[in-house]
Amino acid sequence: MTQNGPLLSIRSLSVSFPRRGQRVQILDRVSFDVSHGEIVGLVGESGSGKTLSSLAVTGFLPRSARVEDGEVYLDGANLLALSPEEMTKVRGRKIALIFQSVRSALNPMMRVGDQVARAIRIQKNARPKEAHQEAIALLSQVGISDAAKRARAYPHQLSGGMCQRVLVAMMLACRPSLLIADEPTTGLDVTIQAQIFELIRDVQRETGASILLITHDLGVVAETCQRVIVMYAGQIMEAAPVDLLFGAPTHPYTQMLLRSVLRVDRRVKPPEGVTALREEVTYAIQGCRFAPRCPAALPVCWEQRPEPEDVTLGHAVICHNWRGNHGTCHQD
Amino acid sequence: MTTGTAAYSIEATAKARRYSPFWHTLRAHPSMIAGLVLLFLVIFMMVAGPFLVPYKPLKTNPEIRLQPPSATHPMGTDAFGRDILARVVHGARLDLLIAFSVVAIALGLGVLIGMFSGYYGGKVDDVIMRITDIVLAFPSFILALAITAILGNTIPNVIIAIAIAYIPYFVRLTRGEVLSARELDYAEAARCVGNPSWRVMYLHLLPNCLTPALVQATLCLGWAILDASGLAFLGLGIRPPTPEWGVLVSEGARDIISLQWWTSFFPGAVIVLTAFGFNLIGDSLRDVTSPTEAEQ
Amino acid sequence: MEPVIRIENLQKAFHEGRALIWAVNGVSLDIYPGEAVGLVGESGCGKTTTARCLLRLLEPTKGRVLFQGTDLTALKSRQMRTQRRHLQMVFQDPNSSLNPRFSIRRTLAEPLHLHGLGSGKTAQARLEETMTRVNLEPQMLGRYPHQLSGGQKQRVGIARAIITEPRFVALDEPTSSLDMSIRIQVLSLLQRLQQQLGMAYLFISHDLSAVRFLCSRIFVMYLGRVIEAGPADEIFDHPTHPYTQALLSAIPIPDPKTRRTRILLEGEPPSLFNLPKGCGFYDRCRNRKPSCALEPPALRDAGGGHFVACGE
Repeated sequence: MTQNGPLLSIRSLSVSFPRRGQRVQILDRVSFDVSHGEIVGLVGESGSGKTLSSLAVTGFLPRSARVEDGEVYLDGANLLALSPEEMTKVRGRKIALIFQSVRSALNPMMRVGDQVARAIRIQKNARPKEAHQEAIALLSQVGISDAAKRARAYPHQLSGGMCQRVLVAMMLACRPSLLIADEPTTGLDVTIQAQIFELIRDVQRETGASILLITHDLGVVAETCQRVIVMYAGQIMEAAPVDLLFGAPTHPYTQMLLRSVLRVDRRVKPPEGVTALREEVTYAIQGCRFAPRCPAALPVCWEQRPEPEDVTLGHAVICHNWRGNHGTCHQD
Repeated sequence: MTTGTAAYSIEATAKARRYSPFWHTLRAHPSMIAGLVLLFLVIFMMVAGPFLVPYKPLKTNPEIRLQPPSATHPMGTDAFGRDILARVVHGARLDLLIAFSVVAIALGLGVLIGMFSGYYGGKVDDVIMRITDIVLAFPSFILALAITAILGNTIPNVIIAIAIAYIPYFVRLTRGEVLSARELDYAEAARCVGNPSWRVMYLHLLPNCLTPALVQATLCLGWAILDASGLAFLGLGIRPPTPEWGVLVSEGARDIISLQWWTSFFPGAVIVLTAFGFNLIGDSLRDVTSPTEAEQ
Repeated sequence: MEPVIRIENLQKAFHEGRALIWAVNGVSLDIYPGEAVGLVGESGCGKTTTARCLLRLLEPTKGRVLFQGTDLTALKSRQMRTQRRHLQMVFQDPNSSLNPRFSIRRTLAEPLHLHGLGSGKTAQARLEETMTRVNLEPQMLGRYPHQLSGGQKQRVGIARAIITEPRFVALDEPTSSLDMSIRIQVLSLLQRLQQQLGMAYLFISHDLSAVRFLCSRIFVMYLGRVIEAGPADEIFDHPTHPYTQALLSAIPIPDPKTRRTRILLEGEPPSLFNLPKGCGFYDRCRNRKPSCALEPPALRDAGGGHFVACGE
């Protein structure tokens, strides 16, 4: 942590999509930072905009998306202002992205060893033979046994867990400052998931990269992340260091999430009372988009977006009624 | 992986939207509009024609034979003095009847067989597929020709012959849909709830497997007209003096040498335009219902 | 008390080209009336196949399934269909488990119609009652699946399963496709329904925290066999088989204050094409002995209804 200022800084990012002939603002003034060497969790359910935010950072927004407002600064440079060629250089050197659908992230026609070697050559201009040797070393480092033989395999011949490890190896080759991992263990067994996260943590320790971990799994967040950002319907609801988020959740949405979470180390009691299972996520509200489901909503919540306020140092909440809200997260 | 009703979710795979607004789609597909216009014209001709055109198709009038197109006879007259427009208009009825009958039979039987074959799989499926392959190996026109020659030269036989040639297409298309649909949970749920196999096939799966077959049906309407006219041109199926478009072309063919082009040109043009109209509709339908198009 | 479901030495093999894969390799279990039993394991362990063989959605290769004493594997199709009134299933993916062309009413009325449980007015009353039971408004009967949210669709799936008042319902990952905040509500609903209607559940899942919420007994599967079984709390708190221990320790706890030692497994499970002769867990097991590789260990009684298949 020797540099000044955050590594990644997203400022008031708003992204819209066309829907039924109109443009709907999906991401609404999203702002957050990731510091050097920090592991930040971006948490939300489906429709929260967490994947969309990562796509905006890496320049992979679909063509129909439009950035209405805001900036994305990486080490001081505004990524949104870069040309596609410049953005390609940033990707891979400074930012690496691990997707959900592992197999589609790898080229099915190329042997995995060659793909890692190619990543190395892009970074270092190494000669093919050296790049290949280093690729094998990296594959071994990420826990793939019999790396020299496995390097000759094609992605479809490897299991999901192995493919994910290959992606991590490619990431190691690039040595990015920022790794964005979007639900990296979807579809993988729990025991494999534990191995992958252990690997990611090791890699982070070794390279000092920052990680933006996008997930819906609060268990993963509690174990791996240092700071957590909670999103709902394209808006940020709360941001806090991990102990404070779990110990003193302030936003009604965070509290609802924590009340709903299931645990394997003890039997959880069902939440009382509210069975009104309203799930629809609407992007059409001027104010706070959680208002329709919020037990502590005030009339102003529908009209006006709240400003971020600090609960304590480093713990920010975006809610009109957080002081008046007496909800808890406890499942007693 | 997770579901919720986000107004938009890029994690969700694009699902075909079944009820896209009609006009919105229409505007995006000028070819569909063109096809519908052509089709409308043909149907109008078939329905209103006989009342609007004062001439009878079978009435000969040797004095006005082989007159070029004029104000009184917009399409001219043929070698027997019959008004060509009247014959074309009456022929529309016959050709459309043949086309729709053919497609009704081919679609109906093809879908039933394809469904059965795809659902049960195994040896039954193998046998049906081999038979289908054999039939498909023959060009449909040649096959229809052969069957008509065997069965005899009547209109119902022409319909049967062409339908037989088309059935394999529908078998294939339906079977393809069924092979994937039967793996879906709702098919398994239908069995789990207590449905016998025939209900699972025809009540649950069939409505969801029809779309490609319906698109193909539209295209087949166009092909049927070409095939029926082609057979008639060769003297099979429908014979003069019945005013069927293929017959008209055949009758007019000998007049071309003496430069009386209109006797075969107009019927031929109508054949082409009708088939083209159906093709346009069919192609647009295929675009509209294919998954990538249906994503917004 | 007689078990409502008894599975005796179920085995199921699939053909992959010339090879034979034994997806289920000798599973036996009992389910008693009104209890919720969990069947857990990771991908490829055979739990989903076991459930489908139980309901004869797949045909077992060997073994028997007894429902209230009747051997389901020996029944003809028509007789089996009659039994299905009491043997229902809730499927995993709400997006594909409902026929997109059927209205909700048609989907729910069909089981009643098939089993002669009413039509017309009596059916209508039952439809409305069932909708209310799953916290859906009866007005929604006229809607189509694409008009419903994921959680609502899943509740329709549950309604379809319970509308015939079955004695047994298999739940195949019923909440895995749902968002977090909806998951616990659907599980609570399932719990309440069980208390109201006295059904027995077989809850198949890889999500152990959901299983802990709902089930009183669990069976842990690995490579087609049951390797540990017993009361849920007992196994969750004191797992005995090394695989169960590793599995439980791998699950992250949503509480940063809890620190656990994690048992990390090496490598991956052996391929189903190439099942080892002895214990399937041999090559990843910390406590392995040479004798473990010779023969798969049998389930032995560890006391208190807790069974383990391990040489140790």
